[in-house]
Amino acid sequence: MSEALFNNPTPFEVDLQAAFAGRAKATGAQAAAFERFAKLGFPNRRIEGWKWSDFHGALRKLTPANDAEAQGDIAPSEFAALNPLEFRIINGQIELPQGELPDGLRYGVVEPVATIPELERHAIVNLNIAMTGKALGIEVGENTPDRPILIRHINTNAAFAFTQTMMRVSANARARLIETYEGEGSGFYSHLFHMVVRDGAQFHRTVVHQTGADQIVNAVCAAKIDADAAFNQTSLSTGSRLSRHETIVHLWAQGGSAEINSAALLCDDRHADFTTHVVHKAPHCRTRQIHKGVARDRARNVFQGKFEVEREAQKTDAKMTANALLLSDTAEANHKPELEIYADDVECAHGSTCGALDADALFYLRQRGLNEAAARALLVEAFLGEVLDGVDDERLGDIFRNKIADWLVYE
Amino acid sequence: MVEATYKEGIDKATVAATASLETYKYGFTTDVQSAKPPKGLNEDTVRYISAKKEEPDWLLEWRLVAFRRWLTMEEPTWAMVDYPQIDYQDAYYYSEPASGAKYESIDDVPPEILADFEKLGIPLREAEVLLGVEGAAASAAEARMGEASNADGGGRKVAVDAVFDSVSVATTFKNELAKAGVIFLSFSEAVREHPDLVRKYLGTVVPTSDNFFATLNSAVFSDGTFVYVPEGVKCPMELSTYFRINEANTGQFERTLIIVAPGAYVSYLEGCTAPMRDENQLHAAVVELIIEDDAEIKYSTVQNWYPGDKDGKGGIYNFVTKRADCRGVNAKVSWTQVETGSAITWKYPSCILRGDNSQGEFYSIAITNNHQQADTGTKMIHLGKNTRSRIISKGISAGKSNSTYRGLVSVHRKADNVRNFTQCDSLLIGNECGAHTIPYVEAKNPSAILEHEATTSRLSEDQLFYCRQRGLSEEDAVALLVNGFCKDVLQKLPMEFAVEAQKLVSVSLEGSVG
Amino acid sequence: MLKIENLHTTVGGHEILKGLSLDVPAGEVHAIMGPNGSGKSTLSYTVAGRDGYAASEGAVMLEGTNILGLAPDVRAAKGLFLSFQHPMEIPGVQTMTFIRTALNAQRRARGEAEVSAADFIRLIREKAKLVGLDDAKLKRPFNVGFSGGEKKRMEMLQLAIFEPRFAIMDETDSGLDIDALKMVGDVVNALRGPERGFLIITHYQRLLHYIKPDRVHVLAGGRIVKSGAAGLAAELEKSGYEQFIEAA
Repeated sequence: MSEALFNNPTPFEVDLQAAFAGRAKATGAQAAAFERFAKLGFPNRRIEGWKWSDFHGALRKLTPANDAEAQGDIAPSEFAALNPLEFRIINGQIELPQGELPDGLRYGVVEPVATIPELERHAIVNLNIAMTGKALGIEVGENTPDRPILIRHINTNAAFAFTQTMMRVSANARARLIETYEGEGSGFYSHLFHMVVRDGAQFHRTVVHQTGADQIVNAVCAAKIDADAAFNQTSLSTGSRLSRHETIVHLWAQGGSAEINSAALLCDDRHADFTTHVVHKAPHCRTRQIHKGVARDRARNVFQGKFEVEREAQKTDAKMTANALLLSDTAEANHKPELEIYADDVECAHGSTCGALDADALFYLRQRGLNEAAARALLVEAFLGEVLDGVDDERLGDIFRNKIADWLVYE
Repeated sequence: MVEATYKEGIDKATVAATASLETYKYGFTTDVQSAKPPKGLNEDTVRYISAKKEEPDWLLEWRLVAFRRWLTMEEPTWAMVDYPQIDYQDAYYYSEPASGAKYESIDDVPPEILADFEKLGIPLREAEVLLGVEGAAASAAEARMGEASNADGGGRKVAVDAVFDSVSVATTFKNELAKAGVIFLSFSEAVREHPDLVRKYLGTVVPTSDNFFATLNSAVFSDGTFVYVPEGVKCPMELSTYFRINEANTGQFERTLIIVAPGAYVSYLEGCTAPMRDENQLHAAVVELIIEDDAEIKYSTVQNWYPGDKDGKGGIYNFVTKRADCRGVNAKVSWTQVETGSAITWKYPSCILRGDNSQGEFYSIAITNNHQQADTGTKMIHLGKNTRSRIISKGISAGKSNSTYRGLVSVHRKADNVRNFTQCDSLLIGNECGAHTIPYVEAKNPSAILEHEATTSRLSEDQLFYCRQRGLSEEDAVALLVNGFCKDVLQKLPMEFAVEAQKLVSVSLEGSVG
Repeated sequence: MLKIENLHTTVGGHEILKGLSLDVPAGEVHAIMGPNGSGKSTLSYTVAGRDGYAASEGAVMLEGTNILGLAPDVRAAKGLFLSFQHPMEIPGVQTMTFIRTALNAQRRARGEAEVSAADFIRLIREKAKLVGLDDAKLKRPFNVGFSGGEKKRMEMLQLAIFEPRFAIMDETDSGLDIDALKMVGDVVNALRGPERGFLIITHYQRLLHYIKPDRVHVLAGGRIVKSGAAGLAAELEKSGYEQFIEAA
């Protein structure tokens, strides 16, 4: 691998190249992916789709700590109360749960994907494909008991870590996945999640981004949804130096549905980017999406949602709502709710709003006896209400509510 | 055919669109010998244009700076339009009627050109209305009758500047405007007669380095329109420019500069057509508007460049940069556009809302049919306090076309109490077209209230059936319903344009159903 | 009880209240009537402490304490209730949750024990019946999708639950049908007592058929221009406000 791969490499890119060169056995596909990455470079502001999330700039400033051994004991997850099957990916190393396998569930460490054609122009995905050695594979059978699967992504003091998860939910099965992004210190974490939801299956994914302030994260989930299958995702993020959670859903066959809800609660200099792309490829699919972003201090909330409706996808019913709430003079919200539609008999709509807390509502609450902090907190909670409503598991809803309450106390 | 449509519904009917009639009625060429430099683009081309126009040195230098800058720039690719690589060396950059560009009086204009404009419904000799579209003669007569009945000499008049390929051929009502203190000249005349004004304002809204096409325009712009409305003057009539590309293989690069001084007002209309030609022709215009304290510009466009044939052959590439700078407090600008022509449209009339309390509006109808592609919208840049903006966009796609709304609403840190409302509605006619909505919202001030709504739908079959049952043909029913869909925008047009625009909406959609 | 002295309020650069004085002793119900634009809503906002409605001069004494300058929630905890002319919708917050949160916030501020969830449910159900709201509404987001009449019932529900010391009813009668007016009358009359005062702000006389005021004041041009016994309301209905607009 020659230096010429990169134009003016940043120190981080030099490190990456060394790391790639040092890998024991990169496959041809991985070498090709690395070359594609090198040609593209980390995405910067000038790249459409990344103008509000400058990975190039942020990673240029990343100081590699590469101190992965300093990992101490890991505190139990707050989701432990749900008795999940817990996987951990610590600084890129996969730890499988011990003990007996639940019926119908198979998992293990597997070979990573060689390519995802629709993401070939995604620089970080290419890098991930090039760098990931082994992937976590999970398959949920039809009769697997309804026990949540928890994947904890913990990136502590690691300069960079790349992992992949591959998951398949079999026909008519139900699966519930919770992913937490955790870890303190500075570092860059890239996760590529490749999943398939088979005919009639239901998949619930909960994503909680709660890393320390200095983490830089790009998590990309590419999901294929078969006939009459449901993909339901709720995300809650408190952001970090730069965080971007991407969800690409292909509604492959008739009757597929996607519900994608996200909330960001951002303070200080934190940044959260939710980017989603739902491709409707077959008739009679339905998508609902709600994004709520709350930002204070100098935080920056980014939402980019795109609905694509292909020629064949008649009778698509898709609605998107994005609302931003700015709590201070220096906070920022950036929205791009996008429709790309090639079928005529569809109902597609999006709405977006941006503003501060409603002064009339604030006064009303004060008149009823709530002090300023309580009134503001109540209104913020109300603002987030629609996203919480999408959480159908009460215990999960309570954990979300507590997290929001914690953030609001700080607010 | 009608029978089949009735039975099988509109989708089936749409498939039959290929059997459509030729609908572009302005596809004649005028036989005028023209003088032009050799094909291709280099510094000599720029010098040739500048010399032809007898321009002062500073303007040549300004063009050359732009040209050198342009050489370093890349053509933008982010728009949702797809066209083969343009060979910028394979076109003419300047063309003027050979009998000499400048006409002392309208009597010197070659009769072929006048006849050409007559065909277009622009009777320059007695221009009282600008009628850029279908059935011009009848409509003109109608309009004139209408005026005669409502006014005795004091009826609404429209002053017309007509740009033929690269030169302005005639400007009407000069004297009457001069009395009011309004300067309304072709750009070349303005450079000669008011060089200081031109120099003061040219490039201050769209700088020479702005974007690929604007920079190209800055290097090779040929003619265009200059308007100055002095302080406190409400321009006594609508001003209008009529653009036509006539020569083959020729790009048109006009430049419009309008300045309204404090308290002044002007309503300005532009219309455009081009003959049918198999090759694509480039039109890269720049429009700069400067609005001072308490001043207002209402800028309306009916864009009807040749869209190419039903197979997507030929047509104008319409790559235009339009921007208004509300420099003063309480300044107001309103863009209204009806975009029905061009093979490809790339156009984002924008408002820089710098002055406190300034207002920007954008009302747009973009209709694409056959293989047309349009990527159009606006930018509302809120810099001043209490600035307001409103965006209403109606996109209609038919045939195999694609129509994209792309818009930015940006609120800067210090812009308190900003309001924006945006509504984008898309209508698909048939199942081979695309309609896209790409809004960008950037808010850096919590007091801003920004609202955006977008919908995508098709013509309601119930409504269509109802109209058919009442006796309307399918095309008439579609036209009626589409006009209804566009009503919010159509009613923003000046009266003279509204009727024509409605007809244009119908004409543009001919062949899109049954 | 509520004593307003020489109150001046300027809103958006215009002086709306121009030295308004009013005294509502404990145990009494007073009505303020006045034409549109006379300053009725400004009065209620100034007393309740809305941003942008600060008094430039004068005092508002609630049980001997000047409440001007206090935060709106502090005034609420002291027992001041304003029934809004246009009650808010709060999407995402269940009605029960909202009212309980408010009730307990007031109680905490007064050093009283909070009401338990079970007691609260009992309380709200009982009062909901009183104001004619069914239980299903209590589980819906606060006021979202409610009709104008239902929103006013929701205001009366809170009045009945909070049992404030002093309530200002700002145009509560607007948009209400006869049944609802009667309900408002019932709620207010049930709460009337020696320790409590009411100020009823209204444009029309009709609510006063259900709530007999002890005194009626006419507000015009930012001042009280006439005061009298209950009969004054009927007189106004006949003669209109014209005379007072001119007088002001």
